[in-house]
Amino acid sequence: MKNNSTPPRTPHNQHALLDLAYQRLGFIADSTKYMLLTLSSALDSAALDLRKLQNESEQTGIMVLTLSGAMDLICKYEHQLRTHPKHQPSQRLFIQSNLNTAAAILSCILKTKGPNLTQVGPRSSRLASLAPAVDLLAANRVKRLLLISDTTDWTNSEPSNKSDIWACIMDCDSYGTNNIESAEPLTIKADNESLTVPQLFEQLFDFCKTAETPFLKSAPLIIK
Amino acid sequence: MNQNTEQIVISGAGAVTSLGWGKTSAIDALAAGKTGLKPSVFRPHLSRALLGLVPIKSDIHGKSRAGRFAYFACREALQTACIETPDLSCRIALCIGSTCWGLAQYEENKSPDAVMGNIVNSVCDDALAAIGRHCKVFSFSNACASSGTALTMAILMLQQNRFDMVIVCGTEALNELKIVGHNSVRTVTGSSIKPFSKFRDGTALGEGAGALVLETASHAIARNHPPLAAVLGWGMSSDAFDLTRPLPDGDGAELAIRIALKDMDKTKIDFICTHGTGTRLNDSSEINALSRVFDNSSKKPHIMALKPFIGHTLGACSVLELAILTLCAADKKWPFRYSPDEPMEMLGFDFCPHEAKCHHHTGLINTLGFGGINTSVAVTFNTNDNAWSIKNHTPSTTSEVVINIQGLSRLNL
Repeated sequence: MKNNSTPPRTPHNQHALLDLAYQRLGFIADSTKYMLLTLSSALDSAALDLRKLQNESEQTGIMVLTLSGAMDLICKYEHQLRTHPKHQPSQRLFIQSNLNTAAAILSCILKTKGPNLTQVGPRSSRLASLAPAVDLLAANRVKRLLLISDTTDWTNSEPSNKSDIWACIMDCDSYGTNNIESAEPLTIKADNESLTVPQLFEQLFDFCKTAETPFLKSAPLIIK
Repeated sequence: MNQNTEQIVISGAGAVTSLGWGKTSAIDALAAGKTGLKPSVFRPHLSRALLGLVPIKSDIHGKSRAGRFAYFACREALQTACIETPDLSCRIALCIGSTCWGLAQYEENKSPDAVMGNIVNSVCDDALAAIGRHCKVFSFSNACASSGTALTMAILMLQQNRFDMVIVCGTEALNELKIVGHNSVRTVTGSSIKPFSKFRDGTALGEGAGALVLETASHAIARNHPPLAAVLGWGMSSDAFDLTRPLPDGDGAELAIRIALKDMDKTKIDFICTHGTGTRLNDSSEINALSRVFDNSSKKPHIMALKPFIGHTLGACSVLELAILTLCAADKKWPFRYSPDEPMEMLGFDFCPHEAKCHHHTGLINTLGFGGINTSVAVTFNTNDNAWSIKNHTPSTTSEVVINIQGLSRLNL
């Protein structure tokens, strides 16, 4: 695994989050660990620490868009069932191999009490998958959403070569309070079918580089 | 009802359960108090549980059992909504939830193309085949709250005027991994499932699918279709506590229920279709949550649990149980009274009376999933003695929100 993201400063949250994850769960799947690492650097760059998240826990939600969820664990669990048919397979493998619990696991670690939802499968990378996130914010159901997009294919217990994990903090509450004068707002329609979520992130990432803001503090983005 | 957003109605419902395929088998069996649970056929030495398996029916479209359940339930929901194929001008979406998707087929076939993408996609494709036209698809996998999440997000997106109609489906086909896994975490009973009993000792797993046609009131009025029910509110929350155990005091569930009831008079709630899994922790946590919500209420709603009849259908349970109740109310046959011989401390709540005495119209459907995911949806049924008319609201504009993307990071593997 190589990390191309080169964070500009020491990501304090990464250590804190991984420690917390092991402390609270005892064990975490690789698939979840990489999501957590990516999310932690997004939290760092948004200057959001865990205490602030926990103070606003009921207004903070999590949405994970994942191609294969915890398929790495499902493969391991399946292997255990096949090779040791008379033994009770591991509890911890089963608990985290629910394909589905990515957002719930993150909520247990981060202690966020707002809605948490995981969308799975190839369709989850379509831009339309952002619609529930936008509507949760627009309807004031949450103030902030931690969004993770993971296109890793874990079918063979190992991550595929072509995979991207992106994370960002979607927050409409702080709009207008950050310095956004230099940036042209981007308008995206959630029903745009020519763009995927990773491509949107890629564009934002490039936009951010050209705007000479090495780590994005605030990109005004209108999602309809 | 919340006047600030579009009113959402339920126009159609379909169900596949261990009691049989289709609404008639489910309604009649439930009214007679029959159960679809039978002794396990999966690894008896490891899995001592009762299971609610759907009877085999091979003439149904679908690539997997979960897909076939979904196809059938969606077709039935559309039929009860008097829709053959949704009109092309209708802004429509499919919100579908499951925990295992087509994983049972992956286990059986060991097919090289049984990658995760296909496991999820094939089930979505089968549900889409039932709808018969292209639409946006949202595939949620949130443990036992998978279809609860699909349901709440469907309501949200309709309220925000993003769609005119959403087909919501929850589907689950049991597989070895799920059955042995639940046995390993000791959530399944070795005898019978007894929600809210002093002697409850675990749940019984089931499979099946439920589907609902949800649409905006204005859309239902435009096509002159009388709805079966209306949505009064919804809530969703996280325990932020543990991957399997719920919060003992029920704080997380309480938050979801309170949000669901925030725009209505809670004394209007006649019944609560509980998550009621029959595990020691779940039932006490849920009753604790309910007792605080209805603490000062002049009237406490009745408690009901459908899992003793159809089993715990995991990711499908929320939509399936709501679909069953919607169909029962439309057919004026309420499910047989469930009540354990020796109830646990019920904190003032009583179980739903038997059909003859029952006039329940307005209730809550609760789901409490692994990982502490809670959803609660309040609905009212459109029955003769609870007749209401839908109001024509002016649709609001589609959601537009300016979002700050704070902190953007990427990990390349």
